[in-house]
Amino acid sequence: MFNKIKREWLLLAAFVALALPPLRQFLEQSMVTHMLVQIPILAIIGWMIGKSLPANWKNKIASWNQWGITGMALAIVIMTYWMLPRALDAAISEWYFELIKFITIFIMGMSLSLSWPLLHPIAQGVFKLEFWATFMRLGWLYLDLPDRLCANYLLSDQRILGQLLLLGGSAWAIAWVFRIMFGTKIINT
Amino acid sequence: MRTFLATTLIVIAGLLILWISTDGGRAYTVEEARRLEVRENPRPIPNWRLQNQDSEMIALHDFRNQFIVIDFFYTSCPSVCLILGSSLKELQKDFSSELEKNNLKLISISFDPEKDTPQKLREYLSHFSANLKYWMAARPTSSSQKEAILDFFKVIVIPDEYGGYTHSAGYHVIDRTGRLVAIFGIEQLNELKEYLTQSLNKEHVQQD
Amino acid sequence: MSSTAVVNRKIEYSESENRNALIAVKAHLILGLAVLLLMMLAGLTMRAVQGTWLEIGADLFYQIMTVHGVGVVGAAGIGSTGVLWYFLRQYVRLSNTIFWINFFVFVAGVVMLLGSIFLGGYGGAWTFLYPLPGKSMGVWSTGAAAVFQLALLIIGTGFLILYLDMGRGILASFGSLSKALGLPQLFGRVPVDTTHPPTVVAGTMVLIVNFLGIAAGAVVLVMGLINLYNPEFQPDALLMKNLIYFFGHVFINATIYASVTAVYELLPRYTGRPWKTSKVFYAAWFAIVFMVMAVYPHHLMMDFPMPRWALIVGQVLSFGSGIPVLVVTGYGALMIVYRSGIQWSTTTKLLFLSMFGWAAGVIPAILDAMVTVNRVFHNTMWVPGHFHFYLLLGLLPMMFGFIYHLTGEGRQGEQPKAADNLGFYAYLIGAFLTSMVFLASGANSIPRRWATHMAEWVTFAQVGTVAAALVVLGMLVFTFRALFSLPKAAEPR
Repeated sequence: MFNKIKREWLLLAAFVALALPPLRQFLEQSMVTHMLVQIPILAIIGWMIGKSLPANWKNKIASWNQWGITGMALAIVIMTYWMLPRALDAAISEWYFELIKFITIFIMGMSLSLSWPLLHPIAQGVFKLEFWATFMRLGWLYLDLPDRLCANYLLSDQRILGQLLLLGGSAWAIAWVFRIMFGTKIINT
Repeated sequence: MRTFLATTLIVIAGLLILWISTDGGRAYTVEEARRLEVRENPRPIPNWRLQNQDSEMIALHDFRNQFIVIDFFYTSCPSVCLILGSSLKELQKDFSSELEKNNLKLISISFDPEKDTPQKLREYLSHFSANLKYWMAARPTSSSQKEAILDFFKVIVIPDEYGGYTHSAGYHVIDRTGRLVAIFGIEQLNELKEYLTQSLNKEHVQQD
Repeated sequence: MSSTAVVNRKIEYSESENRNALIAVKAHLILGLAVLLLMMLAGLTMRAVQGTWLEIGADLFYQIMTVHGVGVVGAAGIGSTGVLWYFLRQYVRLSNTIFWINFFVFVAGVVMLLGSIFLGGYGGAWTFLYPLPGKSMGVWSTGAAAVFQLALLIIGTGFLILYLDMGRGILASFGSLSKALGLPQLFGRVPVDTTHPPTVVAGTMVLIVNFLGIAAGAVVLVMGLINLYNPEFQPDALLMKNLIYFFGHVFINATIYASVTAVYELLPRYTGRPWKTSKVFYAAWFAIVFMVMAVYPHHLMMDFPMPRWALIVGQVLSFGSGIPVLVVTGYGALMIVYRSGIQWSTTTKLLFLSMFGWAAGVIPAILDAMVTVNRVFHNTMWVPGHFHFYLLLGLLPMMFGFIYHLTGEGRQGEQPKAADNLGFYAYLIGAFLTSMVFLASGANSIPRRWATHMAEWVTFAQVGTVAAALVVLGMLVFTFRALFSLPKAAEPR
């Protein structure tokens, strides 16, 4: 019990630390750390808090979230929104967009953690492939676009991010192939 | 049933939010958004007083009854400002008669006023064989004024890895009544020319 | 016997599940057959136009060409999926619901395709080769091109869902895809089990290549869509072409590897001899997993910026790609039939024809795959000759044979009816002639994808029209047979 509470406090502390200016400004200086470090960590914090919610809360939410559909819809809306270059710029320029970002990404992580296990395995597979394809598409897009998408970031940043996304996507694909070809587990990468 | 309701609600709300925040699917980036915004809601420019390449003070409202094309730059810029500059040079040639008739002015505003002294501005203009009667360069007189100007035009300037800047590059068109009416990207020089030709002609007809 | 192998290979389903599954399979076959018939009519129309016997506008010609291409690929996909699914579900537990979902997603996609082509006027060929869809010069709207690509994306997603279910089922029964492919047996880690079902091996191969093909398609289609609405994003055209042909070539190739399960499953039933898997069989199918994915560069041999090594690899693999499974299957089929006292029904005739079509179809394919020949041939009628040969004489007979089997033909010593014989021979002669006329046209440097033909080419097109009419005649018989006998036919045992 004590351990559990302690872990939640740690997560909250991490959340606050990310929100405080030194770390926040440091991570938002570059598109790469903004999109591949800050936002994923926020989502993971949300995911872990979601995991450790009391069981009766989870049950209440689950009755609104059969097969995880509602939560996935919410997560996808949030994800799509923050994929708009405009939205990312706004988060840097306006404090209230930044606040919305911190809250919604956290909620996204939480709703993913509450919904993913409820999702049909086939649907999980489709989502995984779609996420993977999004990695590859965005990576390619960032490498090929002649102009900057975000007014607050440099073109070179965008290029590096593109390369990292393609690299990450490829690594993911290779890992997946190994798991299914030779592993003994049912698809759950 | 609850799931269905909640999902429908989220999907509808989500689509609505996405629709609104992209101006109905028309603007996905800040750059597209600022171009779209001035097209739909032209806004009057404040009468900022700037210092030009001859250390004279000019006010933007001095050029009422003329169209103004404004670009933002800094003199030590190695890349995109050079394209902007040579494009303005092209405008200076193509629209010489309009410039002569005082129907059009070209103004390059520096966002690096500490380094860009009037002397530097003059050198910059001479690089592009600018005719100082028609094309002037100017710098803000204070950093608060600079911020206000960049804010008004929604030009975002960020330091790059070589000690210079990366910035929103484009041509900002002010009409005769002193309103910011259009913004063209650096790649839209032809569209800008077409727009100027049309607007200048249209205004003539109205005057005649 | 390894610990993960399932002792009793046959999966038990409830009575109602089986009934529903049979209906679903029939729905796939009938839809596939109906679409194919329409597409053959479209093909006949195009040949008649080229033969100056019919006059339509060039716009309409290219719309018909587009629908013909996408329709045949789609119908081959949905029909062969019906064949594979029917046999695969005996060995791994597959969900009827998922099978139906794919079917209806496919139907929705077809409606979108038809709309984009005949309402939107999209006529940029089914390969949607970038940047053509975005550069119609006013012939079709951006919206039409977008709906076309969106429809393919949706159809791809439907298939993806089905493959995920197949993958789940295979993993549940066999533990890993490599075990399903028989790799541990091939490499001697476990003793060869001759009762390992060939259908599972084929299904696993199809699953792997099509999954990757569709993944590539999902990326490239979205990149095309982004370009349509954001023309300043100009992806590398050669990379786009590579991905498009990877996707397209894998998908259409996989249809024949999916349908060949009909040969593996049905010939043993008609001869009473089991199809035994062996190391050679596993090796052939393992090789084909890679070959099918690597042969597509023969579509790019005219693109001089392609790296030389890729083209050489493409040429070498194209030479070899048809061979392994073909030899294993063709030889296996002959051995099973040889002195077995098989009763020749339309089913077995069609299945045997498919072996011939597949084997002989390799020859024009190999010629086309030679770099030097390809530079001259690839945009001629030779290429339609090559794929019409494969599809008309290899793939479709497998599907038709399976349909005849499902109708219960050949049971109780029943002889083929006169109409079926007429259909079979009309189809056989027509299909052979159609392909040969294409090949002869190609050899005479007649270009492909031209709405109007020069005077000296018209004779070829006219012979082609007659041949195509024969195919349509045979196809009509098959379709009527399917429509009248299939719906009420009981599960053949």
